[in-house]
Amino acid sequence: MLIQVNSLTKELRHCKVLDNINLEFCSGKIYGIVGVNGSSKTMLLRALSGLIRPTSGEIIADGRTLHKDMDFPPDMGLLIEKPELLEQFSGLENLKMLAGIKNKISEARIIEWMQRFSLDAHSKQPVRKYSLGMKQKLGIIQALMEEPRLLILDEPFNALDAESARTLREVLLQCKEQDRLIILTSHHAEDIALLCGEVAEMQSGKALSVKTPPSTLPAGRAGAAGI
Amino acid sequence: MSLRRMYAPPFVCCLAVFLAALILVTLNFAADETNWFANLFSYRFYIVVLTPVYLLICAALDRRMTTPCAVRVGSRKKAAAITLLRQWGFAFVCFCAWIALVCLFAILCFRPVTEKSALDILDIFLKELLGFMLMGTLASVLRRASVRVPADNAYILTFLLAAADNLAAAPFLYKYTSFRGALVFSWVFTEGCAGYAALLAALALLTAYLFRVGVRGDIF
Repeated sequence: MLIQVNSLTKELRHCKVLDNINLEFCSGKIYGIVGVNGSSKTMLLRALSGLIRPTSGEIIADGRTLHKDMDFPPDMGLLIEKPELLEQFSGLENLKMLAGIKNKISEARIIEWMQRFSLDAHSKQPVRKYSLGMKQKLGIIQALMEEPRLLILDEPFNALDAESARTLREVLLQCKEQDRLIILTSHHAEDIALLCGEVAEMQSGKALSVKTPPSTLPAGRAGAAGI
Repeated sequence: MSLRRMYAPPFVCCLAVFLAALILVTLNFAADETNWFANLFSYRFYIVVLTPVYLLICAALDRRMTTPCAVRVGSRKKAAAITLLRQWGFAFVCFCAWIALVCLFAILCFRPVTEKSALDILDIFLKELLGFMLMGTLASVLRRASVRVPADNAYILTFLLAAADNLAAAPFLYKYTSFRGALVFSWVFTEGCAGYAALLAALALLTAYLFRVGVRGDIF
């Protein structure tokens, strides 16, 4: 998959939240978007996932223009800000309902994913009683479970315990090996350094630079991070 | 199909609550034998009792089309259509139950309905159903279009518009012109074919707007 962002600008109430962004993302890589709070990282992910329409410019995924040829990029797993779940249902029910729309994976596979992230698949507890971290795990699982070719993850490591963060890193590296495209934001420099092949830095709605982060952390710290 | 599973439990729960509320209200009305039938089909009852319950349920159904859900559906239009059809479907089921209940109480408590013919009841049924469909569609437009209405307030605003139309504008107009059709919602209680024409035209226009322009709004 190849995603080209050409002169992307988004204005909200006469304020440019994305300002002439030109980026390119291709399969088999993990891209990191970094920047301080309010630098429009999430807004960029929203634009890439088709949730907001550009004021000008275009986003082309595999030769097809977003909002012209399609509403959302095809085969996309998405986690933006908070996981949107139906609070009165259990975690498994939520995932089954979402999975049933495309009908690509079985219940057994969903349970496998939940076990991988240490969630009790057979718990009847409704999601409203889940902790922040458990809800985040569900959000991550719903994005990953159908093994989409494109993964857009906004702060996926937020609220995760060390074990789950390690699992997520492993999964993301596996996805990369499977020639899938992953775009994520994170405030954790370690995660960015460990996972991302290229990093775009955002500042006030502009993509300042795209660079390769220092590829390795000191050996001891990489080990502690579980890679 | 998971969308069916996602909508079915609240749909059944809401219907049960709706029917329970209606039974209570109907029993209360039925105590006054004199003009209870007219009361049940009055615009006040429609706006003050039925509409808030319906719009509340519509809002709950709408909230189920979350971002992960819409992305999987793959198309904004399809996602909006699914929600709209659920809301219309709910309106239809509720109205069938409502009319059946009214007729049942009429027969059980008093006598066979003679004050209104079957055609009158069908006329009321169709117009009030169209009114509900129109409200659901307007709320969807307000929620999805790039109009500056906070999403959660779209249903409240729709109720306020319907209430202002039926409880203020239409009576005011009727007082001076003997004609009871002001804005769109009050045409539900206008006699004759003009009401149908106005309601159907408004519904067609709003639905077309929803699918042509309304689904282009940003999703936050």
